[in-house]
Amino acid sequence: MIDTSRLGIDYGVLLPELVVTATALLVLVLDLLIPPGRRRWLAAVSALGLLLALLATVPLWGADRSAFSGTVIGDSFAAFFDVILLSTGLLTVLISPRFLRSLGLEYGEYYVLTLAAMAGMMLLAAATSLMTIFLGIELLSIALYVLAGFARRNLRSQESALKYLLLGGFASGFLLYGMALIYGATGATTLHGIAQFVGASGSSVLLLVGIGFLVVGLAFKASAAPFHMWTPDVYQGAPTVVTTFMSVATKAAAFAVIGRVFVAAFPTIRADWYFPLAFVAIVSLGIGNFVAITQSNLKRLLAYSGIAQAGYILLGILPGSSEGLAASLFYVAAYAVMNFGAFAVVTAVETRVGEGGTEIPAWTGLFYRQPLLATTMTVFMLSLAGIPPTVGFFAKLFVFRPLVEAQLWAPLAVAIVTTVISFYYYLRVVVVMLTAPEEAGRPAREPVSRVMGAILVFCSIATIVLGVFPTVVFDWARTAAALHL
Amino acid sequence: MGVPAYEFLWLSGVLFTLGAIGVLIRRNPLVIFMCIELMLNAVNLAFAAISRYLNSLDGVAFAFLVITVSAAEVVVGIAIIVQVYRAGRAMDVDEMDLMKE
Amino acid sequence: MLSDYFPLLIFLGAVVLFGLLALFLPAFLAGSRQSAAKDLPYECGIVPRSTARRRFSVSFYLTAMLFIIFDVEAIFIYPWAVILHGLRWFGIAEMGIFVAILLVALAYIWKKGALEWGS
Repeated sequence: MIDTSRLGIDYGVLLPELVVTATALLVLVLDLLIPPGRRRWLAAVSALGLLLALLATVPLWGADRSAFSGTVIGDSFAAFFDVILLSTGLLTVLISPRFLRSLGLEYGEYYVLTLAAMAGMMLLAAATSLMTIFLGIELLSIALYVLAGFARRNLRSQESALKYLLLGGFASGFLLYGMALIYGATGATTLHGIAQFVGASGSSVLLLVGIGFLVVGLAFKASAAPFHMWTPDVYQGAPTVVTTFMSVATKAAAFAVIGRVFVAAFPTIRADWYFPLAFVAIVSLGIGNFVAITQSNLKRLLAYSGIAQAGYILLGILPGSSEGLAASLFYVAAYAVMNFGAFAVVTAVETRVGEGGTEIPAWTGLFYRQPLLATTMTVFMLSLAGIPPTVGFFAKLFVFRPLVEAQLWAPLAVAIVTTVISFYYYLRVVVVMLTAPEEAGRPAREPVSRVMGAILVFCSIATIVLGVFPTVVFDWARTAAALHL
Repeated sequence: MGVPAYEFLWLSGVLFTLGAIGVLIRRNPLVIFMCIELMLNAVNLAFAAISRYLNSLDGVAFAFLVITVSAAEVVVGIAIIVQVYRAGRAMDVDEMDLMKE
Repeated sequence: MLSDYFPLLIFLGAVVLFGLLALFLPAFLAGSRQSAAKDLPYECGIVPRSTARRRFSVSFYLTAMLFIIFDVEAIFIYPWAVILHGLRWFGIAEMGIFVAILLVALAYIWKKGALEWGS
């Protein structure tokens, strides 16, 4: 008889993930049973499942329940990310049906794959073992490969799926090899075991090479430079709702892992991982902010902006303190709200205008045609640029502060200079929307769907309210960042 | 006495490098995909060797997961590649440039 | 130490020699008569109906892919089977969940017609 009580089986810790997985399976079966005309109901079922999962995260807040032989943990850190991920997923599911109908892509598999990716991302937020980190990353990646190519007849969508697949597989190889080397160097696969070994015997060449490969794999998933090459093409080619989802959720999940691994598992060898991570952060800030200036397609512009934002989030990790990590968590939350909003506006415009709607010239005079879309987009652009009183301003301020305290002047200087440069391309979008269209007479107003309008208003109000009262969420981030293994 | 574990690590390193070089220099997506699989199998070899060297089962369990996940990845990957092929496009990643600026 | 392997070396040599002999000796001892049947891929068994260099139906790949994905899942059933006695009902229940998820996938591909051949 095997004593199963020693395995630490505790389904409560994984309850949010289990609810999402069960919903995915339910939607898969329902898709077979209901007539094609009723597929909107699948979105409703998915949304309900995500809401239930959101409820299931509540008991995890303030808990410290390591489970399944130390491979996952239920704590405030996981709960913080679960809330961000589930909210993003929920809003994505709500704006999807109309967009999918406009492209003739109303398939139930869309929701199944989105939910599967969600389950993988949430597993990442809770993962405390190399195995669960690997499983989470692959679960989200494989689902997203298919979602990127979901517009099957569209050559760009196909091409983006192929690129994402080949480069993603390549990055997975590096990630795994890094994990194998870390396992070889420390003899452990759980972060707890690795941290114990490293705390006792310090680092070795094998371990450092392993960590280096791990950084490559994770930076790829977070689309941080110089491992960002896939990002603009995949973001542009994938259906816009998918881009909306993956630009926010994948990045949040990747930073959940980066935060937990580097701040919680490797704090004693910060001197060894500081330079590679600082390099990635600085290059991301530089490439993201400079190349975004030259873009003429909004999805590509937001892709490069996302690369730069990854750099800002990484800045908070660099000091290796829980205060810095809290700043990164706050930034992830802010990024989720403002970037989701920005891509949702692109989705709305594209639903109306068709594929050409993502080109910047098509946005000329949007203020006069669709004032709601243009106003909310302005809020998101100002926030991404970091202009008060939006949440983006405080997010940047919070990640800069630990850098000052730790006297890390080089990354700070780069961040400030590139932030000023980024004003140019964010504000250009606003200026284009304000420019009067050339044709005479005001074109008729085109209405936006009620759900989309409500979500955009919600996101922009959240962007401003969080900018006026940032301390509430920052306190949550601080609680979440007080990690132990 | 069998072959020492570090010999297997060298072999896995060589296989991994060959796979990585293959990904970088080959242009047919199917061949690139095969090279990625070679990289993953090199990792499996490393896990198995380390697992035996350390006398712990974690590495073997990890290799099981890698095998399953890579099977799923292959199925999705082949489906995507077939989809691109059926659109009548050349099987050459250098010509995949619909989205260049 | 190394001398222990000497008999093995002799054996290897004998194997190679016999193989070569069997390959070349008939050319000298027996005559050679050509016929169409001798050029077939298999001299006995199923008669090929067309050239081997033709396109396969995509169904082959589909079936192969589905086979791989379900086959690989068996990897988790082997270690489970080894310790099933110790796990008792807990093990049965856990594997039941695992197989149930696979069954959902099977139901999906069945209903989608991926198991139909040549329709």
